[in-house]
Amino acid sequence: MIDVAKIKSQFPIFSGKHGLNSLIYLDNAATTQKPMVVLERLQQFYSYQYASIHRGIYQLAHQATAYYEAARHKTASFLNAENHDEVVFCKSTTEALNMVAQGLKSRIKAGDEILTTALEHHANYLPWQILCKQTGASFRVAPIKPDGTLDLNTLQTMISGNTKVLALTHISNTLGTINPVQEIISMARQRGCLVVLDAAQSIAFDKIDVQTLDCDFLAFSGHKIFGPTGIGVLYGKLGALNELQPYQYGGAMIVEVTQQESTFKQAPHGLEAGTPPIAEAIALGSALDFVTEIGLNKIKHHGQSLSEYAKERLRTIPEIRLEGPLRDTGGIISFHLDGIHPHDIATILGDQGIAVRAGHHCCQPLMQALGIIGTTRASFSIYNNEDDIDQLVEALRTVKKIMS
Amino acid sequence: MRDSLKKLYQQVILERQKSNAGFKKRDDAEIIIKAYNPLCGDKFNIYLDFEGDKVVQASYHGYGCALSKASTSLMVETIMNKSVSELILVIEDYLKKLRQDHEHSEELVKALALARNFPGREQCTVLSWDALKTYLKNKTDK
Ligand SMILES: Cc1ncc(COP(=O)(O)O)c(C=O)c1O
Repeated sequence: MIDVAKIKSQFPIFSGKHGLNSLIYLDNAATTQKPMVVLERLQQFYSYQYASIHRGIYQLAHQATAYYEAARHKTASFLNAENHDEVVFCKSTTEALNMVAQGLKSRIKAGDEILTTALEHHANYLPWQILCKQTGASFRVAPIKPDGTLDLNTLQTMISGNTKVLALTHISNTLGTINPVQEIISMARQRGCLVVLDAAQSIAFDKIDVQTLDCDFLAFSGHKIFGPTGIGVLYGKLGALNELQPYQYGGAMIVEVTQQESTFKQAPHGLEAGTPPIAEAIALGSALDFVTEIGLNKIKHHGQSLSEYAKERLRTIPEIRLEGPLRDTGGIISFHLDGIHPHDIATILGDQGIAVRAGHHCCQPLMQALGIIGTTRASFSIYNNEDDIDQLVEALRTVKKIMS
Repeated sequence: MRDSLKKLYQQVILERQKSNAGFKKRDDAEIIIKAYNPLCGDKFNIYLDFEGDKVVQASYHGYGCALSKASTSLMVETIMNKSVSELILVIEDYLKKLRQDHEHSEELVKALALARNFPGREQCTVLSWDALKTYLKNKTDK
């Protein structure tokens, strides 16, 4: 069990200042709120420790570099990576996935196949769709079943000898579906294709061990695990990272530049061109410490039990139709209410201090697969409790009343 | 619940969107204008027939929220029998009324104008009107 009240007290946004005391924040799949430790770390670094990294030979720069590299070590151990050089800092999940897709371009050709799934966020769909257009490879999308789980038998048959990449999400940001990634990765391993895992939603939900998972690449964003925006992580096996063609070129990544030829560093530095998000990386380190201290086992249990409770309570409104798997979902649920447009629902809930997300959730192919236009989505985190869900359910009754 | 919310979702809007006034698919229409909001997925086809430069038939079909449906329904009603030059004025007049409270606006327009008090919802009330405006602009520019 986690102590929600104690955790919530560490998040200034819930402190009641600035008129936000009644905020019920159920949009955690979009982004999470920030605890004091993260905010303080940013302020401390910018106030007293700030300098650019990897180039200054004065003490301040040396120390800033050490903090930045310590954040890399923390991230590596958070993911149980074998080597801290397997952690590349970037801007976001989106950037990490684009970095992989474009970095593989010279190795993909017509006749190759890239496989993704109908559950993907546009960030793990478009980079591959575009890569296929650029290279002539074929873009294949593994289907889902009506309950929003992957059709594993079909997926297995779709991994062929020509499949070069399997890109899939760990947890669906729309339905909360938890993919059996361990099983899927073993299937892919037998066929020898690269596996790219989108961990944007799982990073703050479940313990991730990249060595056990045995994925080639994994991406997540700091802002979804209580860290700052502007910092993302691309994990890759060292060999796989070093085979990527850099996605950007510039300062900090070079060994030597001459008028006609240049050479570049190995990963991770060879993939971190320019001044990186230094403060954000360091504060991400604090966010990961914060999560580790609470314990991912507890966090997962909390998220799952809130989801179960929410589903149970929502079923008390007969006009609610839940989307996605019946059970075993991440802390995310999507639903429909009596044909009422999700944006009307979200406006009326917003007016009652409840923040939810409405629409296609950057998953238009998923909406098409489900034959719907959008959903209303509630997603839970460590500062939510059953009370929040009770209020959501009450507010939904109000929506029904207003709209009928 | 805030008062403004009650006003936004007042009877005029809800009745209008439920009435399905002007809600009719017509694949044989002379002109089909697409109005689409990528943010929420709202998508309407607006069907128009002209005689000379006058609108003689107008309807819409598609998917949208209460506000975008009510505003589109109002639009297809308002533009009937208008010439192209009148259409441009009618659109501008509507858009102007949305931006400020006009005593003389009809109840439905007054209600739709309240959307500007709600984050992200103003665009629901202008979606189809903007699409028509863009269409007319392209047409008169040619
Ligand atoms: C599953 C999934 N993948 C990718 C992303 C993209 O993350 P970001 O916008 O931080 O790059 C998100 C965020 O919404 C997501 O939920």
